[in-house]
Amino acid sequence: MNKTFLPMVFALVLVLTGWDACYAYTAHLAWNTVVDARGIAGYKVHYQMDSAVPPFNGTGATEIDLPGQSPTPNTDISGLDPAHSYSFAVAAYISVNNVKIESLYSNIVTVPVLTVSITAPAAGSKVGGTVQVTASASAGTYAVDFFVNGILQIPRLAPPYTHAWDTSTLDPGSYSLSAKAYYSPESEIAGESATVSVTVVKAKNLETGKYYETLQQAYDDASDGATLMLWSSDNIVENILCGLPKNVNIKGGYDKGFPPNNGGYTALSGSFTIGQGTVVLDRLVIL
Amino acid sequence: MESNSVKLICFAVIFFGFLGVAESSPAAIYYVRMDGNNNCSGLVDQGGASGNCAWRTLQFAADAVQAGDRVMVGNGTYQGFMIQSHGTAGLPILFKAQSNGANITTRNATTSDGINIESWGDTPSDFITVDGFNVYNQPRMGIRAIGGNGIVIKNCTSHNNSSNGIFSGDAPNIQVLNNTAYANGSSSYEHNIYISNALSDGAIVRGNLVYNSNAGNGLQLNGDWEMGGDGFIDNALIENNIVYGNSKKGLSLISIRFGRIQNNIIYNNGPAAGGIHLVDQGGQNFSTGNVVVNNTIDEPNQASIRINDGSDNNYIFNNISVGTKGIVFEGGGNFQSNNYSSDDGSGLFVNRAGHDYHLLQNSPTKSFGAASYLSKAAPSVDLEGNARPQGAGFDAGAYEFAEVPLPPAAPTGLSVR
Repeated sequence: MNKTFLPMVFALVLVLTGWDACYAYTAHLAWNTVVDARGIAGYKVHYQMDSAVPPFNGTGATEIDLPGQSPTPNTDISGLDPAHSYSFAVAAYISVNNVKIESLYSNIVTVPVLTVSITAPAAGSKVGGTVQVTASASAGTYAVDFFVNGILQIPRLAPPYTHAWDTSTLDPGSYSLSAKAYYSPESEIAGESATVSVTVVKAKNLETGKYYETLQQAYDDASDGATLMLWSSDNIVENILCGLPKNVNIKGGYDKGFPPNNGGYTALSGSFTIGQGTVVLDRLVIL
Repeated sequence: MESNSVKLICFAVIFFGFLGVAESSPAAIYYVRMDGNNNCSGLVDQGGASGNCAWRTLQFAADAVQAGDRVMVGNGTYQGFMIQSHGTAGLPILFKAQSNGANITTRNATTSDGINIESWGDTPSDFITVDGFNVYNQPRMGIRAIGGNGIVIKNCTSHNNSSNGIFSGDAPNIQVLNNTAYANGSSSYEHNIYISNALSDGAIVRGNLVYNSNAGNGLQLNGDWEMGGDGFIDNALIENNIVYGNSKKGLSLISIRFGRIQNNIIYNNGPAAGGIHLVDQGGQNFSTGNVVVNNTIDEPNQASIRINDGSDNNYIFNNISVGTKGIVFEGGGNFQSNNYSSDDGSGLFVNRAGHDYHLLQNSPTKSFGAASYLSKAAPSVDLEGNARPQGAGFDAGAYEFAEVPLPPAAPTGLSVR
């Protein structure tokens, strides 16, 4: 049985840009107040880039003088570069004859450079249904955010940083996946991943679970007796040549989740030629 | 005749009315510059030949100023000036070198001095401040002030003048502050700084660097009974000066009463003179009732402090005296306590040879002093303004050892988010 259908297009390809890595963050510091009978005249915040070795007085070291006492001493330090680590310490001081006598450093807190990457799915994958998206983050990461096309999917995901991404409601095409690793629950301090592009497609081999951008690719890859499932929502515009000695079932009317079958139909536009073997068409409308 | 009287009355009304307007005119800021001109208004700090530009000569400014006026002087080399105007306590007249580059190397046109604040007649030159000039190579005095009340001479350098570097006579409440005076004088009667005559009560001499006089003393105060008045300078305050290497005495204090001499560093003055000398003049007007406290005096050749016979009721305490002659009382009736004496000063100072008289950590002069002695209080700060005491008690000498207190406890619980 030879039938000709119009060519079919299974997927749209969307290419989305990745994160802009050129941003600066603000670190929020807080510490316990120091009580001294002589009167605390203020605090000094010391921090240093790319080194945790005190005293913080080398290259990249900064000192901020915070005169005065507070029951809840704190300060914000802005303009920090996420591409570098920073180590922070605080000292209290008293003032004697206009000379500031500093305490030893407080505990030193080092904020590392945070790195994160999308480890699954692989870049260029064709996906459909529910997809397990997984990230790997460096030490010091408190939580990870997942983004699709720059839109936050789930915030502050705890390890193992895996998210079930439901593509069943999406249009076919390319989607950009990315992640951000955060230093603490409310922190602005984050590392950003490179983007990973995947393609959501509308053809799937029922037996193998593989997804295909075109029906022709699905047919060519199908083994004898396989069933190919097609989305019901869009026209498939493609010229198909079924020229192999095998039996293949092509069924339309599926939801994007593959399955279930929703009882509808898939429209085929283009030539559909059967040269060898057997092709069973089900719930297809040939335009 | 009647008509003439009316005219005279009208003239008087107009004349004195005009004077009244002039007296009440607001104080002005005038400028003097090397590229100015006396045809200018003097009101704008820019060069020019006329109009809105600075004046050229200090004398022109001195002749023009009134109470409250300020004269700002640009860098350059000027002829000196003599001023006979006067300010008031609330509206002093100021002559200020704007950036310490105004040099006066030629005497003023009237006297042989660089700057002369001269009271003539019934209107003394009161409340005039001279600030920041460099005055040198004058045929007589560098800066001279006669008769005015409330005169201030500060931040000036006066050197290599034939007579006194800075001189005042009968100038009540004069203040000589933070000046440098050296290599002045040609005879033993001419000094780097000289405050003279009995009307100089309330003089303040503070923070000056006074060294290497040619023939006279570093600093002299003299009540000078031969010149009239009661023959005493009362209630002078001499503090925070560094006085060294002068040909005669470091501090020559003749006929002064009830003064305070404190926090001074005095060393290596004339081999036949010594550090501080409290004395009479010609057997009269003995110095009395003065407090000499917390000075550091290093005089290897002569007495560090010498009080001549007849000068009495002086209170000498908390001083450091280095040298074999020490503190010498030629007569009785004075009081001393808590003075630390050393023949060679070893173990006392950071660097005696380099004349750094800050105290060593283990100097025996630490806490050697007293907070007060016979109701006379030691100064509450030292030469550098550091509070006294810092250790267990008051240190002797001009410097209080800067005890390093224990630091406070380190903060805990630093968090970063």
